[in-house]
Amino acid sequence: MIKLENVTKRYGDKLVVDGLSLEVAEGEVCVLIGPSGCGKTTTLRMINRLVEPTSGRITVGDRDVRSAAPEELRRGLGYAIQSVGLFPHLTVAANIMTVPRLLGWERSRMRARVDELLTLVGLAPDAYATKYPRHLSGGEAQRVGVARALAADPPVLLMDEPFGAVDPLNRERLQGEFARIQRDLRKTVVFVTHDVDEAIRLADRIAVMKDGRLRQYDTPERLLDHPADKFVHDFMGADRALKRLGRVRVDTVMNTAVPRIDRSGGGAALTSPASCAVERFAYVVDAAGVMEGWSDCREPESSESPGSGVTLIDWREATVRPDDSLKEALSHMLELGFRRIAVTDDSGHLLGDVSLAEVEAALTGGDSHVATSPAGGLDR
Amino acid sequence: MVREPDNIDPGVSHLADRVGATGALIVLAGCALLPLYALRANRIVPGIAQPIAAGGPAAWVLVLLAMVALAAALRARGPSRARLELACAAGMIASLSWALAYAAANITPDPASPARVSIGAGAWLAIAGAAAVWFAATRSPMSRACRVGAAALVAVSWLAAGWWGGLARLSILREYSSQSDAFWNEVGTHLTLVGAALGLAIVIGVPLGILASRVLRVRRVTLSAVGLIQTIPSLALLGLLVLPLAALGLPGIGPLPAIIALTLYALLPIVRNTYLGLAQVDASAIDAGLGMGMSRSQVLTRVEAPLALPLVIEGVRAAAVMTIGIAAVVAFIGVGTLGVLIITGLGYQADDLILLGAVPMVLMAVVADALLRALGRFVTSPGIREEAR
Amino acid sequence: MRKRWRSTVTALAALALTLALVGCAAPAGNAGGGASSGTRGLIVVGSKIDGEGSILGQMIIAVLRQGGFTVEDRTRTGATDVVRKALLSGQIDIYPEYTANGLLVFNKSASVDPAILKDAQATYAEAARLDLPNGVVWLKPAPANNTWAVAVPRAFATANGIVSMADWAAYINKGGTVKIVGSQEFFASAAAMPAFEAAYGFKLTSGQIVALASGDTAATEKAASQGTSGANAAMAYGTDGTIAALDLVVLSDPKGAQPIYQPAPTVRKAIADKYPELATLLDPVFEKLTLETLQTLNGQVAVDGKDPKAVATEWLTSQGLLK
Repeated sequence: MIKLENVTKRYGDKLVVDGLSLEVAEGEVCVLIGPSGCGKTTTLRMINRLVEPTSGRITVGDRDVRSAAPEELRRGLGYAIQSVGLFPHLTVAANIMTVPRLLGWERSRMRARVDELLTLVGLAPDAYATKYPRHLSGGEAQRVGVARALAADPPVLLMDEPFGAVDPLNRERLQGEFARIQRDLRKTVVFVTHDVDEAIRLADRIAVMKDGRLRQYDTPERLLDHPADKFVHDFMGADRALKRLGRVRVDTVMNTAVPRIDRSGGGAALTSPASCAVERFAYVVDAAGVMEGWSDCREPESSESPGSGVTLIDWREATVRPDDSLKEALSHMLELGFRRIAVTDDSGHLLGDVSLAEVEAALTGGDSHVATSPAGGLDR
Repeated sequence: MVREPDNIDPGVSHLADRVGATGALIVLAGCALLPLYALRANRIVPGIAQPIAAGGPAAWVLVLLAMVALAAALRARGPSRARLELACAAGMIASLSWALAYAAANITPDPASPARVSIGAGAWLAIAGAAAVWFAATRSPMSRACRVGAAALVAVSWLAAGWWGGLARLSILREYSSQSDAFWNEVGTHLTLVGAALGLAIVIGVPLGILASRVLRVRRVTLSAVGLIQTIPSLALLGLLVLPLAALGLPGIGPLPAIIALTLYALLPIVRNTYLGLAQVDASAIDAGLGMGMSRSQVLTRVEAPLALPLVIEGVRAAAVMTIGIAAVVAFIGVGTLGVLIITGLGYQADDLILLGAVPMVLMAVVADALLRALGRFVTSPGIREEAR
Repeated sequence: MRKRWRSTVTALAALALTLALVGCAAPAGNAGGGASSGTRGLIVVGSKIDGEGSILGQMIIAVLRQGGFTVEDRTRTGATDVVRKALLSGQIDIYPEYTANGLLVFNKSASVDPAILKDAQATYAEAARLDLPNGVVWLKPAPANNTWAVAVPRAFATANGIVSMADWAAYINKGGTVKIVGSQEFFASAAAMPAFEAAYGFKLTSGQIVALASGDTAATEKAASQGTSGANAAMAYGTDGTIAALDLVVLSDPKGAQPIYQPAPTVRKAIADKYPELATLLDPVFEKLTLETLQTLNGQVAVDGKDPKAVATEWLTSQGLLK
């Protein structure tokens, strides 16, 4: 979809981008990463001609970017930047509709699109459409920025450290939202960041740059497992094993056949008698299947109350979701002091569990636990 | 006891309103120590002080309101204080107008006689004090209705005083009635000149300001040049224009040098504010606009202009107020305007004729200021408006 | 919101442009007064900015309008040099000027025979002759002599027995206290105070002089009348209307030391040639303007505060010159 062929940018004597060649396939998220001054932002801005290359060729969808006027090109490319750049004098809705207005959409179509986009980025349309940027928090503003970039439904998104100016908690949330949106929309995205964890979480492929040159362009797994040189190795960070865990989804490795006791029936019904007898452990669920805790499988004596031997927990605190990473699951386990942790859906229904055994297997088994689609990413 | 910081909002302050109290005291001082009205035997002899009672009941109402305002400033708190002070201020100006009208009508009942009653020093002090109380009151947040209501009260009382006939007997208005045609002519000339100069200054200055924000060299040259022009005294500028105009074969007196001079003076606020307005536009908004596919001119009209417009209107407002004042000077080169009345008044040593030239200019400036402020509010998007006071 | 903003800006820009264009065109056309329509042609009347100039200017306007001309009122044009420039550049067509100015202020290069200055008719003839090459035509002057004079408070005059300039000169030479207020020009111009000093044999020291920048006799007379800064004498003009009101007396000039300033209409040659009937209309008016008449009329404006236009028309009507 996007092809850079031997692109160079020179400012006077300074060589900012040096003979860069890479290709981004359709529907792929390509993350440009590297230390400050490596030319990643300049590269991004050459794609939509905010910066003109000194030499080389860039094509988007088989058209040379120079074949049309820059304005026309840019209207077909979504653009989101770190400082968001919302227009303070316009409402959120008017901001979002910037490119559609340039393209001449009609009113009703635009209004519908605003509602659609605000819902997509997780903001209630009724509340937010008429607000002004100065009333928005950093996270909300960035969401509007993403909505604005998506407004005209461009096939390509260019994003320059869009989550960089947001606090860590919100950044975490925004990354998750972005992943979710990308799963639905499958845009071709070129994303610049300097945060390795962010890159690993979101990218299909990562282009590591230094001094204007491309050092390695690969999937996150291969970058972590087989760095091309010492720079890439050091850049990806020391905790590569944990980062790898971050690429594995819980639902790809969890055990689904877990012993469960349905408490509603008085506490005695066992759905998997074998494991309970062997491991003396079962999860306790209610009639709807929502997890309530676990039991050590003691036979209920007549004099004892059904609740004995049961540890009750709040599923919101002590479980993980199926799309969480194995890294998060491990972190929870360590935090709670368990050797295994339950996996529930967003309403608390028990789906399965993961244990240290699965973690170990993911680390040592290498690629066998990783989803093997060509785009090999986490949040697909 | 905790000492309150001095910069707290005066509308909710727990301290007495010193500004309002001072204003009220000034009014009382004016009434007590100086004459409110002076009787002149004719236009040029100095006036003889008249007692305050000559103003009839309205004069005592004035004193009463001043005392109420003083009490309110010292004792009352919160939004009710502001409203009370504003009411008192409007009432004081209204009652002073009635007192002057009453005195003028009673002391000089014969319209044919050259004797006249003029505004005394005490009355000027009272006006100043009332203005101070008004200002103190409007510092606090107050609804639009209150402010407009107060202004309306004053206007209505002036009209009523004029209608009833008493106010027209006052010396300044006798000057007006003896040359009303000439007066309106000069007002028309004044407004036309100001309008032309402002129009030209906008048409030249705004593009210059835009250019200055883009090109560094233009910015330096332009801002220095218009700043330099401001330092030249107006009469001197008119004199300086004679030579270049003569070289071009154009007259050095008359409307042409007048408009040139006024336009030059009006340029600085407009050019500088246009430049500043554009300079304070968030650069990331411009980058986002360009990146999304706006052309340079679309960025200018859709992003930069709405954000810069409030400051530009500010500049026009400053230019308007300034030009209204400077326009009086062009009377020296034979163009007209209210300056003619001032010069003629100086020639006759007729103070009220001078006032007849000066006071309308002040009123015009006040009205222009208020109108342009309202315009500024109108064009400012709610997204960039500062929190309302 | 967007529509409202855009239409506002367009309206503002249009307004600015309109103001600029209209305002540029308008002052050339109608600053200074409306014209009333007549059948004969347009004449623009100017005048000096003082009271007498306004009255004379209004008289000219009233008479010309009655004569069927379309007249534009641009009286109170400015000081002497401004209104003269306006006449020469064609911005105005006619204004009342003083005969001696034609010799002493405007055509200064020609050397003046002092004998001419002492004779009213000779002054007028010479001024008219010298100005013709400048494109200015002088019509018949009024008999009033609005020349420089010294005015003193009546009480002071009675107390010291001073009636004429000769008495005043004697008083000064005896060492009497004198403080006279006048304009710079009055004390510097060879034809003004120095002429008095030469004729009556006295000399003012700088301590006896208070010089003002402008020549407003109202200011000087007021100062002498009230004794401001110790003043007890003032520069005055012969036809000033404020003298009696301020309780001053004018000192007579028996030796005729001063040039003769008679008011007369000065017209642009082109207009004078085009409308020779101007003389027929204006001569009868100016003939009747004696010193006393002008003093009375000036007094009505300066002291009583009447409108010069009203004063002019009332007088013209009372003289049967205006219907």
